[in-house]
Amino acid sequence: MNRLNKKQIITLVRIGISAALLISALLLKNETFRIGLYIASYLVIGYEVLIRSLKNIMHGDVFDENFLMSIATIGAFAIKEYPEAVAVMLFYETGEFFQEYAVEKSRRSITDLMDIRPDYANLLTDDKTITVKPETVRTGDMIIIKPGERVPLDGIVTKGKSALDMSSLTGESLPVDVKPDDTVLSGSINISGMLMLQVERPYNESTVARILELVENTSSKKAKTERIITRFSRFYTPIVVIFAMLLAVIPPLILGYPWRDWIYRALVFLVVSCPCALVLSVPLSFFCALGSASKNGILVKGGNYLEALAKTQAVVFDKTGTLTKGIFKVTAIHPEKLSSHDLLEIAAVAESYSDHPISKSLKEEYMEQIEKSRISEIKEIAGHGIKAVIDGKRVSVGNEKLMEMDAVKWHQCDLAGTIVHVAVDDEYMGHIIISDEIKKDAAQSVYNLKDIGITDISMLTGDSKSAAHHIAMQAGINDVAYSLLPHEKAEYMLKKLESIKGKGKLVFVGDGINDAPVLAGADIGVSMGLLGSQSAIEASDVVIMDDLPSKVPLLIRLSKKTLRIAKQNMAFAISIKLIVLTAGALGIASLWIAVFADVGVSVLAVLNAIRLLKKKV
Amino acid sequence: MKKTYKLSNLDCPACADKIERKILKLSGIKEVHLNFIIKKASIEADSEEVFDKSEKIIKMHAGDFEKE
Repeated sequence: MNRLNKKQIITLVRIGISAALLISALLLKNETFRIGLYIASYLVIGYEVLIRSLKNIMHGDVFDENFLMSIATIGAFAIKEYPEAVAVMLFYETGEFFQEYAVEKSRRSITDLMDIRPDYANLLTDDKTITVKPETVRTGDMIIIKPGERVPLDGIVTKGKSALDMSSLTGESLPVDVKPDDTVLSGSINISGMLMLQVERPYNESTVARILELVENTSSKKAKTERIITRFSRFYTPIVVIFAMLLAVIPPLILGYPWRDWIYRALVFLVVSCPCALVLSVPLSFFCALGSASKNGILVKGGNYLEALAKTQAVVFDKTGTLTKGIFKVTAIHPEKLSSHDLLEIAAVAESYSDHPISKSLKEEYMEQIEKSRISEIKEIAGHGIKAVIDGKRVSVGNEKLMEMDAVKWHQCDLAGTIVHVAVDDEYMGHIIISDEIKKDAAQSVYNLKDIGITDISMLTGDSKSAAHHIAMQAGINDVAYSLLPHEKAEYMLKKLESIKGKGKLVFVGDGINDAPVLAGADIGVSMGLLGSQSAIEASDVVIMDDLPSKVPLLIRLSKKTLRIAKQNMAFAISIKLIVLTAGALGIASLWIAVFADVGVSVLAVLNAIRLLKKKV
Repeated sequence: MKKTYKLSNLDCPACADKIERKILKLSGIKEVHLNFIIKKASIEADSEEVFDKSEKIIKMHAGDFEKE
């Protein structure tokens, strides 16, 4: 339950007083008193609408909602339909109250996300810490984060250990442990220990600033459904108002029907002519869906993307960093003439100068200190590997091409992954298998996609055939494209786009590193993680903050539900209005029904849209 | 130049749409966007004059606002 604000409490009190006055008027016998009470009841509830409509009419705004309600109720007074005049105003304000309350609720789910804005940073200067605005901190500065404080800027831990609550960023409530050399994202909350950070980027490029910008701009890209309904409502109100005027004047003047009857019918039209139920019903569904996605750690850049996602026909996953963790590990050592330890040692020493992920994994597996003085000569051959002289022996560490180059007798390996062959003095010593681990939810993601009817799922990678098939099999993907260079990835997407043309939309999911052109080539580009490059996040339409591929089927399911609800709301609002208009023209709809067709429909549409905010999608 | 405004009294989506359309008609306007949910307007234009006119339109339909 939201706390009511002051304005809402006042409205509630006014509704109560007005209702009480109306009821006592209905019970009263004395005619003059009765009319007095009706007018009092009307003014208590309606003065705001009356004042607003006066203001708007001075600006020449005749199709304003307040003005229409004022005319309708004053007209009802004029034809002596006192209780109905009061009731229309009373229900209108009550409906507005519920509507505002519900909108506030969905608004809060989105603005809660914006609470991640940090207020200050504790900047470490030569001798003390000072509190400054995050915007003034520069890259390379040191900041301190005490337990309970929000991390103001992205940085690397230089001192201290702690657990971080990243739930406002990723939706994941389990705290994450950090230690020196770990990266910390702004917006997370430091739970347990004091941390010292070296700031990695200025505030306006930080995670927090990027999320806030995304959230603030989400609704600028409107879905087609939203635009249709807005356009419809622009015509709807003037047309209904013109009909109302014709209805009030023509039948009595030309056909001699009673004025009172036909003015009543016209008043029904005026009440139903208000556009807000229509204009609210659809955008609110999208707002709620965007809020719900954000709660689940998915940032969608606009309603139009949700609309497109609901029509997903094919999903293409990138392999490394998307379906796999992107962390390489030595998974097997196959020595020929040495011990496993010695084979690993040679490889690790030879690769000790390189920063390549493969080299890092070798060094990590070896664990011992490497004496670089053992290396007397070193040469890196791009696309092949490394040649070095270690302890006076000629060592070659690299792929099969390097082995061929030296005419070493190497052989294949059955295991999947990247194979690093080792030769000493041109004699084959064996190989080391390095592979990337599949993410825990990769297979589940593919399964869930198939479950919602998306069967065209493929994986592309620049990696070798064996590594690609190994991961694809575990994930349950049959359609695999491997050994692709970056431009070939983009070409693959074009072909895919062509093949599903007219059937639906193409979604690409990548880790955001080096795949900006591919992301931009898909109908909907999804990038993983906020740690991806800035350009990829700009090029993508959806950002999954916690790196989980299983968020893709979840998002598609949400988008389908959103579109369903938006369409329900649109159909419901339009059909109820049309029915009441027809009934009103025939003289069988009362003002009571008319006011329901206006605010009742709004409230129901809002309640329907709010279903999207439920935790479970 | 881009300016953003907080419109605390913006409480009807049809009004947001109306303001947006009216501002869009001003000459010299580059971009205008009203976000009904977070109650914010962002306007991009070249001259102060356009901002003044836009502010008048906002004031007329949504009452008081704050500059950000």
